[in-house]
Amino acid sequence: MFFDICVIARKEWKEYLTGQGLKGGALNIVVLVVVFGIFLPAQFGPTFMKSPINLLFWAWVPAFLVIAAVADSFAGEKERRTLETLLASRLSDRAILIGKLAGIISYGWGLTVVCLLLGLISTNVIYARGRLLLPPLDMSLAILTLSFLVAHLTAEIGAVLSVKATSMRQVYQTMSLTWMALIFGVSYGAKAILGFLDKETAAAIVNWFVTMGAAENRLSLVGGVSLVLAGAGLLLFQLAENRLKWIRCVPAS
Amino acid sequence: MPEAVIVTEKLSRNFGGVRAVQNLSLEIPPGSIFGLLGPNGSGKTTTVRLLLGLLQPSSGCARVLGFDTRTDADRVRQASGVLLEHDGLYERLTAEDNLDFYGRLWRLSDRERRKRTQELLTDIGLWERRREKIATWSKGMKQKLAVARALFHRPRVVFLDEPTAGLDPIAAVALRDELGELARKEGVTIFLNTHYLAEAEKLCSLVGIIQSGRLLAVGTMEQVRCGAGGPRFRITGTGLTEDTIAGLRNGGLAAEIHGVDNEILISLQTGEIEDVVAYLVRAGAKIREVRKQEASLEEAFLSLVEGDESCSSISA
Ligand SMILES: Nc1ncnc2c1ncn2[C@@H]1O[C@H](COP(=O)(O)OP(=O)(O)OP(=O)(O)O)[C@@H](O)[C@H]1O
Ligand SMILES: [Mg+2]
Repeated sequence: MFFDICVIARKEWKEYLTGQGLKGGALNIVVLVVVFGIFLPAQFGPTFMKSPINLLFWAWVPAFLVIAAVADSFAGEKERRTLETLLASRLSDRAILIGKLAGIISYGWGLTVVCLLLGLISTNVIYARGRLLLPPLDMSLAILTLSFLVAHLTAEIGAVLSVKATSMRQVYQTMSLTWMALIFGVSYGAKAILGFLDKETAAAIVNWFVTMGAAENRLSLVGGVSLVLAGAGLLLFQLAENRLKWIRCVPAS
Repeated sequence: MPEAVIVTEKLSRNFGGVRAVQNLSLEIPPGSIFGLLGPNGSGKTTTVRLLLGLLQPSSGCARVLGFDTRTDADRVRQASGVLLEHDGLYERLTAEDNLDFYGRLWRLSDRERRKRTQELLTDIGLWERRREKIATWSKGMKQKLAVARALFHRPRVVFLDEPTAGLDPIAAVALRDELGELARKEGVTIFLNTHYLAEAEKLCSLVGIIQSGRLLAVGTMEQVRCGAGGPRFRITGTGLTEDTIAGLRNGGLAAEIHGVDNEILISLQTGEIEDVVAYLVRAGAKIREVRKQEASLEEAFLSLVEGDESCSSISA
C-alpha cells in the first residue's frame, strides 16, 4: 500500500510540475515561492514573525495552494476522463485516495514550509544587522502544525466535494468562496462581537490576542484547535473514501 | 475444453427504467479474441464495466478468471488491462511517463518498465516520440498508446472498448493489424467492443451480437453468419417448377425459398441440404449444382438486429 501511495503521489507531482492553469506549472510554483517566501516577508519586516497575524497568514497559504491542487486532482481527473481508467486498475480505493491526498498535501504544505524557510532567510538578510532573527520556537511549531492541519483539512474537504462534482471549476469556486466567506465571517464576526462589548473588555480581549505570543496557554490553544482539525480531517477522509467507493462500483439502482 | 476466462450468467443491469444489459450469458475460452458487436446504446460499454466490477449487476453474475466480479473485483482488475470509452491518458505527461506510471502501478521493476516501454512503443511506431507530451498527439496516436498501456503489464485478459473509434480508416486498419499482432504475440484473451463489422471480422475468433442489452447471437464468425436464418444454398438445375417449390415449402425443410428460372435460393431451418436434394430428385428435378452461400457478417448482423427490432415493435 505504501508503495502504491508513493506511485500516485509521484504522478500528482509530475502533473503539478508540467501543469498549466489552475494548478502548478514549474513557473507558477517559482512565482509563488518568490511572492510568499521573499516579497511578503520582506514587506512586513521582522515584527511580522512574532505577530499572531502571522499564524493566520501561514494557515491561509496552504489552503490557497491546496484548493487549486485538490480541484485539479480529483474533479480535474474526472473531467479529463482519466479517473475511470485509474479506478479500473489494481489499486485499492484507499491507496488512490491517500496517494492523491499525499500529493496534494505535500504540494500545499511543502511549498508553505519552503516559503517559511525562505521568509526566514530573506528577513534575516534584510533586517538582521548582525544578530539572528528567529520567531519564538512555540510560534514556529504552532505555524507548522496549523498549516499542516489546514492543508490536510482543505484537501479532505476538496476530495469530498470533488469526487461527485462534474467540473473542476465548480469545486475550485465553491472552495475559494467558502474560504473567503470563512475569513470575512470570522473577522467581521469578531469585530461585531467586540463592538457589543464595553470598551475595557474589548481592549482586554484584543490585548490578549496581540500578546498571545507571550501567553502561556498558547500551546494548549493551538493543541485544542489542532485536535479539532485532525478529528474533522478523519471524518472527512471516511466520507471521501465512501464516495470514491461509490463511484468506483456504482450500486444497482 | 479449457476453462472459460470470462463467464457471465444471466447478467443484467438496469439504469432506472433503462435495461442496459439483459440476461447476458457468455463463455469466452482462453486465448480468444471476443468481439461484442452492437449499435449505439446497445449495452457494450455497460457490459465491460460490469465485467470489471465498475458497476454492480442488477441481477445475474459474472466471473473473470474464476473471480466473481461482485465480490472479487480487485482480483479481476489485478489481472486485467483496459482501454475504456476514453483513452484515460494523462495529457500533461509524456508518452513514456504515461506508460511508466501504469508500469509502476503494476509493480514492474525499473528494468522491465524500460524494456517494455521500448518494445511496445517500437511496435506501434511511436518510440521516437516518447518524450513528447501527448496533449499534442493525434487521436490515432493516443489510441495506440492507450492500447499499449492496456497490454503493458502483460495482463491475462484485456478489455478494449471501441479501440478504433474516431480513427480514420487508414489509422483504424493499422491499429487493427497491430492489435491482432500484439494479441498473437502476447497470447492474451481479448474482450473487444465494436460497432465496426470489419473489425470483428478481421480480428475476432468469437463474436456476440447485442441489441438493446440482449445477446442475439454468439459463436464463431461462421456460426453467427449461418445462425442468422440458417445456412443458405443456391441450387440450379432443370425441373425446378412452381409445384416442386411449393411442395418443398409445405414439407417444412426450409425456412425461406426464392425460385427463379430453374434456380432456387434456400435458407435451411432444421433440415439438411441432402434431404432437400433428395426431395427435389424424387419430384423429378435434375440438379446441376448445389452451392453454399456465405452470408457476410454484415448481412447476419443486419438480419439479426432488424429481426429483433421488428419483434420488439410487434411486442411493444
Ligand atoms: N451511468 C448510466 N446512467 C444511466 N444510463 C446509462 C448509464 N450508462 C449507460 N446507460 C444507458 O444504458 C444503455 C447502454 O449504454 P452503453 O453505454 O452500454 O451502450 P454502448 O453499446 O456502449 O453504446 P455506444 O456504442 O454508443 O458506446 C444506454 O441506453 C445508456 O443510455
Ligand atoms: Mg460504448
